[in-house]
Amino acid sequence: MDFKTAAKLGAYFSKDYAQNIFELLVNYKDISASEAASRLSLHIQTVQDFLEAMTSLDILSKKEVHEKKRPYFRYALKKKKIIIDIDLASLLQKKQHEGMLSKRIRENKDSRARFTTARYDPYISSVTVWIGEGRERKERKISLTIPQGKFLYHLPFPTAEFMTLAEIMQKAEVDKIHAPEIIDIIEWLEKYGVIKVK
Amino acid sequence: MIKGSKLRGPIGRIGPYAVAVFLALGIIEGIATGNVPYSSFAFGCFFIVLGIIEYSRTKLFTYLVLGLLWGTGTWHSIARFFVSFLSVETYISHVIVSFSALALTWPVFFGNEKLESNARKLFNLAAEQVHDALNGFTDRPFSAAKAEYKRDEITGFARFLGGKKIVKSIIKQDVVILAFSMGISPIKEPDLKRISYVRFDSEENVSVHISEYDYKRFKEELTFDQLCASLGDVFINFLENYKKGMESRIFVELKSVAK
Repeated sequence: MDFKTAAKLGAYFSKDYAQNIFELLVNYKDISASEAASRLSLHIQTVQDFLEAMTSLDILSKKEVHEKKRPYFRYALKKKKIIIDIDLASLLQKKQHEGMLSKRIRENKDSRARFTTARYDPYISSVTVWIGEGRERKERKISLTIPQGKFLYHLPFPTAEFMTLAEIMQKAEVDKIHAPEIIDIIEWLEKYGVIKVK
Repeated sequence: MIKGSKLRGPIGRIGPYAVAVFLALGIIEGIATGNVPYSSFAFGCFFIVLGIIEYSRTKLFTYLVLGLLWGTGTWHSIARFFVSFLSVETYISHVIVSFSALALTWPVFFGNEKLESNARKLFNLAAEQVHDALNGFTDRPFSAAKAEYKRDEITGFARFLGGKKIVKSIIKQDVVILAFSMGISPIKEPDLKRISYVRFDSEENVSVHISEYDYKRFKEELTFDQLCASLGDVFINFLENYKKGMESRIFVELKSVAK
């Protein structure tokens, strides 16, 4: 199951009435939205949305039936067990495979970011950027992990030669196991124009 | 403007000239009018303003206290002719207090002036090797290079430079920091974000931080990474001289550049 599907499922499962609707679906062969709504004293639209969402997630099946020429849907459970199984490692592999570590970067000239250095240790403890202009200007401060801080401590200056992420990590003595968190902060900094990517 | 220097002149440098000008003005006014030299009020204002400016720059109260004492002392010298409760005796007391304050704060005052003068020499020494002006300032420290040293060598080096008022040395368990500044004084417990420093760690890494204030003292926007690298090289070179017992070469190099 991918993360977005799991998130959607989780969002619907967290509704107060979710368990009650599933109890009906388990005990009834099939049920319409209006029958379930009246049984649970809920608004028909609320139940309709829930049943449609479950159908789109392939948990329910729906069948169109007619009552005196008026069509409506009846819903039935397709499976009696729902397993949420997310492979978090797939998120990690995706980024590594994109060849991010070979990206050549350096700090952008006039990046307007403020780097706060740890008092006596060789790493940056936080980065602050300002978003927007004038009265709309907002401060955004990110506290860094130690590997991220060490990496940014060795980030090439705005007038220095570009270096790849892998080279900077080696210079900063940051282990490759921390590559995902380095890539994450680099993407964030790129988004706010703090670093320049060649 | 200082010939040969890549730095803007310090504001304190106008002090002696201004004193000479105000004294000459007072004498001329006294002779010309035969009255009390009213220009002394401006002279007093000058001391006070200079004290405030130097305090706001260095964050040392010494400058503020001395500026106020000397400024009001100058006012006192002529105010005694117009204010009934002031007299020659009160003026002499004021002068004694002013000189006593100078004597008591002399170590701080002199120490800071010496540190600032040496900081200017260090920056000029580093700037000699930088010929591009592409700016590129960032407030991050620059990872300069590796240097070879043992713990006792680097601490001895730091104490030596600190003792000679070339830098303010901060010696910690795993790190030695050599701080200097042309702005906020490193004499008191320095805020490392606002002053410049060179850092030597236990793994022989050398990194350089140049504060925004110090960088803006340069007449040109020198290429920042080159300036940081050059400053790191200056200190590594000093360290090599120290290890070889050639400390005198450090002074020769510092004296060879413009202030």
